[in-house]
Amino acid sequence: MPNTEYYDDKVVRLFLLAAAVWGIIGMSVGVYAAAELMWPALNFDLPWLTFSRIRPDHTFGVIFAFGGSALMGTCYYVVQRTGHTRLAMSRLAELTFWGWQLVCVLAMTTMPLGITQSKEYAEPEWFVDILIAVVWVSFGAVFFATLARRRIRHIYVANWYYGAFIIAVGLLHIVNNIALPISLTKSYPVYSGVVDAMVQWWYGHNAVAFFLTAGFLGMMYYFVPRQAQQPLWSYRFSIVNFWALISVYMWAGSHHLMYTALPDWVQSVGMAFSLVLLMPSWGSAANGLLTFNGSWARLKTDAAAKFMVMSLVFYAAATFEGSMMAIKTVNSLSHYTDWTIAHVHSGSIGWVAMITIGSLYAMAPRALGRPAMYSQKAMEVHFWLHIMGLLMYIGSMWTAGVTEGVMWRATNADGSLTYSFLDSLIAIKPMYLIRWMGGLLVLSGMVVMAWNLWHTAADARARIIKPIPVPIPEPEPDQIPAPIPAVG
Amino acid sequence: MNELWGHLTGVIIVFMMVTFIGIWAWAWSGHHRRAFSRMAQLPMEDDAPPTSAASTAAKDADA
Repeated sequence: MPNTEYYDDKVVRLFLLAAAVWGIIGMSVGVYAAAELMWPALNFDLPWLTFSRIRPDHTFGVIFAFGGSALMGTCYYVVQRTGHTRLAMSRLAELTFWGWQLVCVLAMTTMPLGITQSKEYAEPEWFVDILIAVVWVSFGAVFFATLARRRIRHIYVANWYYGAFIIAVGLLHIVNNIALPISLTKSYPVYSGVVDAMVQWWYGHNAVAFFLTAGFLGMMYYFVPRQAQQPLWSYRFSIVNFWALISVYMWAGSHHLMYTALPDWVQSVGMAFSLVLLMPSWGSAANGLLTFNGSWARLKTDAAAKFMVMSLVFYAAATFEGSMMAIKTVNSLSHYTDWTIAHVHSGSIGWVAMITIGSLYAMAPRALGRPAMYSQKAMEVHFWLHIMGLLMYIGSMWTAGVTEGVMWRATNADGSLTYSFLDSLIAIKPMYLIRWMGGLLVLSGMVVMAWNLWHTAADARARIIKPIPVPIPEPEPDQIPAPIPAVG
Repeated sequence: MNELWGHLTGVIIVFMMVTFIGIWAWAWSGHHRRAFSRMAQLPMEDDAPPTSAASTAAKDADA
């Protein structure tokens, strides 16, 4: 009897589409927010259009809607390929797709209306939080049930990262959002004062750790060797880095609260763990980059590989910068300035967006039943738009941040401040213009990608692609687990 | 503060160091070499011919 089990790529295609759409929406909001900082009149005195209201829409849109969709889509793709099995619970998997889209739409429409918990990266109110928890637990159920029916005994390292991402994000989300609702649109967290701040930044930092790092490292550990067509530089080293990363990251959150009411020793613990964190971060970056040893020539022709290599360079750079910024003396200069904005975008536009785009370009043709992306030239254009935009963005924000830091701490001989806040704002205004233009370039690159994906998906839209069979080894009859009959 | 806390801290540090070294030893043990090198090949195996309508027909004919 021929092979009867096929990979379930329908849900992967849905998430791919969602990632392309949310990427454009989230970054458009970001570009508009940047324009408002340059030309404040652009808020037209409309409460829902003010910077304070649309900024969480930008962060939620790119992190959870764009990044989340890309993570869930690639996770479903990778767990099937590395376990030689069809996705378990196909219908629940599709439900996680629609559930996640509902979460994103609800969050992005309520936040500009002022319905918010005012917790950074956890703004949505309690009713959205409950929906997120339900979708997330379902996502975990699909993932672990698929792992449970894998046909390859050892669990490929990318799945360890995806697994840690799912468990930790669920834990962080639930603990940070425990709140008492007083009405449909308003709730109060059960924590108060400095405890609330610590819980919030334990969450906030680990959203970076487990959403923006562990999840995307899962992507990296599968798609980088695949694109380089070389085995991982060191598989064993990837395991050591995994355990080191997940054990250390959890304790670094207090570096967001330097020089606050948080006890001094807790701040020092955060700083110490942040410095140790550099090692597993660079370990993974080095492992990914060295995987390209022997196939560097691919970079000349393959834009997806270019995205991946540059993403790893920026991963190494941003994690180094992050560890340095966690040092108290450096933090006293950088905190509350645009340096933080530069750091976050070096991590997000540099590392997260580029590994995502590279992985999507690697995965999309396969999931859409095509030999390659529709246009290699458009991929090349996207790469250069993205990298130019990124360099303009972070270059301008570093300059602005150091300018602010230095001006704010300058004092006259009598101890009074040399500059007013307004002086520093005027000094950095040109940087806000360059930042806006950089953002515009990154956004236009995303539009090019969406156009390219749309054409690559021609066969999928016409519904003429055939599902990909799972390579179940011979002999066929006594397969454990028994193949799941194909449904689509 | 009770000096027992100091001993507890020490025990925890020793425990964490042993765990860390243990993970290295586990990852580098010859026992896993075959499985790991097999695992490292996995991502490259997803490169079978694409399954557009035309090429699948050819593949079916082979089988």
